[in-house]
Amino acid sequence: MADEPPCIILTLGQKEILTHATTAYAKATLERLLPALCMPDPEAFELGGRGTLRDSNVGRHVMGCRG
Amino acid sequence: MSAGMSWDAEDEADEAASGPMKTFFDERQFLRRQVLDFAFAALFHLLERALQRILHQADDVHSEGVLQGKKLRQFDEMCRVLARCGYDTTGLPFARDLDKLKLISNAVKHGQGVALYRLAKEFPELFLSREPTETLVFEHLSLTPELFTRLAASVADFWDSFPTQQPVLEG
Repeated sequence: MADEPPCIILTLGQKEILTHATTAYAKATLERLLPALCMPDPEAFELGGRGTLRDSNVGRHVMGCRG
Repeated sequence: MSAGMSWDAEDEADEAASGPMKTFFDERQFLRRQVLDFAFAALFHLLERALQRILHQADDVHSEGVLQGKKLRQFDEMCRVLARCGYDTTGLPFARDLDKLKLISNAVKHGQGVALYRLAKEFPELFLSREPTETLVFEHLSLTPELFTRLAASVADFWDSFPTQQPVLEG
């Protein structure tokens, strides 16, 4: 007779860590990483007009994106 | 330039700046897309890696009774082993999302290829509309932060539904 396959179980602690790690990664990506790369509106810089792109402008706009 | 307006040094500076500015915005757009796309791939990688470790550890504890000498290469294989060992995720609410995440991850990592075509066939809603004769390219795939949130919740559900050791009651 073939051996019964073993049951794979996690401890409550393991499960909690894995669930928490997933949620924390998603939260960090959505709330930190992506907002830090928030795309400024080219219109805000009058692209091709009199206003030219300056670091201070970009910094201010990106800070604004963090809301 | 309109007739009658003079072209001065400031205009010249603006014109010279507009090229680099466009490049800057294009690069930022590209960077943001890459980061979001690879966030899906990383989410799947974390799931796959953790599951692989759990199966290997269980295999060590049970004298190779879990893997039975087989090598684990793909997520689907891991799920089949897991089902044999008491946790069958087939038909559970998050199962289709995990399949979607796997295909997205492979499409992001490999670009044009089998995973992208399978993804387009099984989940056409993830793609921008295109003409029937237009060739499918990676740029048609449109991933959103909302989808990332949902798939991350499904991965969390996968772990949350994992069979757990019951605490030993005293007395």
